[in-house]
Amino acid sequence: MQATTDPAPHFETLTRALQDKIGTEIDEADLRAEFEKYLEYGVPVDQAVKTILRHHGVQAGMAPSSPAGGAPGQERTPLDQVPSNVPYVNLLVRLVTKNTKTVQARGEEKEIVWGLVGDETGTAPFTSWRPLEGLEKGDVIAVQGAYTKEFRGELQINFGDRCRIEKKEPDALPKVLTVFQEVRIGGIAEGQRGLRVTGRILDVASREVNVQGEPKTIYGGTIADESGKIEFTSWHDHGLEADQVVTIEGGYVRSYRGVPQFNFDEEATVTAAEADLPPAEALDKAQHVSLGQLSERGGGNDVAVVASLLEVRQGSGLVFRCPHEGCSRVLVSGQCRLHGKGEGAADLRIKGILDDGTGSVNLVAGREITEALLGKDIDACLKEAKEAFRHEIVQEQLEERITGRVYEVRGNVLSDEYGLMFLARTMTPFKEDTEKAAEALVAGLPAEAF
Amino acid sequence: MAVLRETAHRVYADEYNASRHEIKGQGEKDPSFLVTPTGAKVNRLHVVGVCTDVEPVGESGEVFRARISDPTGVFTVYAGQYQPEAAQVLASLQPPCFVAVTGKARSYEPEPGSFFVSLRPETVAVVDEATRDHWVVETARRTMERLQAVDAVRDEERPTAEALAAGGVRGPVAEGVLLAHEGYGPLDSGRYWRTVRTALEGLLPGGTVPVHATEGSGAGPSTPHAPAAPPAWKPDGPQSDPAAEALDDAILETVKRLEGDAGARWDDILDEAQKGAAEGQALTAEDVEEALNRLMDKGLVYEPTLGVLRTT
Repeated sequence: MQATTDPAPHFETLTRALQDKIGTEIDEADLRAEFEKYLEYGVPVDQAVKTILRHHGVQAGMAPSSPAGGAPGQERTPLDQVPSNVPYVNLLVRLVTKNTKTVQARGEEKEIVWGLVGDETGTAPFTSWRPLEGLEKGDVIAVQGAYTKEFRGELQINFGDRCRIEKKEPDALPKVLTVFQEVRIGGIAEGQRGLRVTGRILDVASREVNVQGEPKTIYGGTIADESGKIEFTSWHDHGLEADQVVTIEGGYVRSYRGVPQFNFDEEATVTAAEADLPPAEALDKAQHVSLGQLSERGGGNDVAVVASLLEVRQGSGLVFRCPHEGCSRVLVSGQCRLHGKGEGAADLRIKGILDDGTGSVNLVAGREITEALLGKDIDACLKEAKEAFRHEIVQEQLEERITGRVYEVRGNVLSDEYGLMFLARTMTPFKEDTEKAAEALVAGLPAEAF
Repeated sequence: MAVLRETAHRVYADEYNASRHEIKGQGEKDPSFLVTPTGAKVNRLHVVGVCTDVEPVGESGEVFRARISDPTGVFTVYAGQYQPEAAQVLASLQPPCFVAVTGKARSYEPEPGSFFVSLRPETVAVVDEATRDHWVVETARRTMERLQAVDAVRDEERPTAEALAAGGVRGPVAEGVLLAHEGYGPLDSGRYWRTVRTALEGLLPGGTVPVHATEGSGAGPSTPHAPAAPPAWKPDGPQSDPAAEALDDAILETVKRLEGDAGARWDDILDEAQKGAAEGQALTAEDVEEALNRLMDKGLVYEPTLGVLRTT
């Protein structure tokens, strides 16, 4: 008889499967009432669980039909077979990385744990909505009743309040986990995580930041191998020094305005590497790219292009910047957009369009470059503008001197809503031996050209 | 979502002027494109060449036409009241001089069968010879990139953007080449490979970048970088090709017969020439245009207004 079955584990199954909705869409007391009503009417308990789950939009069959209250030894699903968007799954995994962060959940601050778990079939990112007390990176855990989601096409595992987590012996899983993805620095792309990167630290400096109201020292710099270089942020003092060659395991990538940046924290392992990398001077060079490549990538760090300056745009030449502290907006008709009228500080800049036939970007170049291309300094420009009673005269001189010319430009390229923005660090007239270039091209022509 | 700026394409005049395939934008903000034979999908074009001639056209005198020569032919540039800054710079040019022009592709089809392309400038700037030489090299690179994609299309039974991308063709190039394939059918890519060679040869040691002028036989066009030298232009085709010479003669006779007081219209010339050639082999519009180009280069005919030719 059904009545002899203890209904408690079955109810636990229900609450676990619906843990996402309890407290928001479903009231737990109501759920219990509904469940008990089914039993009262003599509905078999399995049937009752399935029917209630279906009522709440959970497909029958996804939830276990037998009480899965977590009898130890319950069958687990290997990570590579875990589907996305299921309400209940059992796992045996190793905590590959473990981090905490504070989030706002239903108006309250809540500390969550996130990172990467892995087993012998692969790894997946996880978020735990409950503290993982007594658990450390490297521990093996059995998880009963995790639920899964999909984020950007990737499986995401969640440990809700109701799942059961049990620490296992370290040898419950094979010790060697092939969890890190080895990448060349030039191949680092947005969204990657669990990376193993080997490179030479070109520069590193500490700076103070505010993390959730707490001051924190972080370490930023540049790391390079033969394939490229990338800016990094270490959220922990790994004792990095310039010129060191290191292997970093457990890094992840975040993009800032289209430019990928490499991040790692106290959970990452940093070790001195044996790799035989060229010296820093050889690695610290701008990567020559076409504007078409930059458009595909959505930006780039320390890149060099050869392109024509097709247009000098309005707002170039002599400008005046808002004197208000922390503001450097260019005054329009003597007014700052935020701080109103002010005696602006004179500056020179170029806003323009760079185009090499494969792509087109907005260019911004500062005073130093503008002075060099104009062939005079800002004082001379101010004097001429005063004599002419027009500041625009400097922009007109720029238009005449640089429109249509070819430049080699080096700097960082960001993406914003207007497309790509090239922030020039250096910009010099491009000189090329066209005779040699033409010879090389003619030598490469196919027979049908002759 | 902001509309991203159209890349300014690099195309030699010879290829640009042979363009016949246009994609009209639907809405107000939807740009139109001119697809060139090798598949540059041109909304915006960047040209650096020798300006040989600027003159006011039209009754109001507000429109200026300039001719910009590259090593392979001549770009026609029109600037009017809606391009006041460009028109002002054009009007102040003192040909011959090196200029860089960025502008929008324009086409004009007075009636079926006659199709003219020109350039409506956004910016015009006087530049130097090195800038022009760089443009010739850069345009060679871009044209070669397209031609390689054209050859890849020819090798594929059913060319798709994906197949081309797998072969290493950049996305925008693949798109243009497939559009050109649609619009023109299989291409005689050899012709455009030869255009690239012609353009580059002028830069080789001892070479001179040819300058073309479509009008006037008086003093002939001169090259600004070699003012003391005799006019350094040469016709497009091989000078000693007897078939070409015979065709040129026939076309010249046709123009003479048709021109009257008002000049000979381009499509009438084509009709007549094709009638005359009916017994021999078929004569294409392209053949006739090349012949007319050669005649213009020789200074035997000129084009007082677009689509109308006269003998000198």
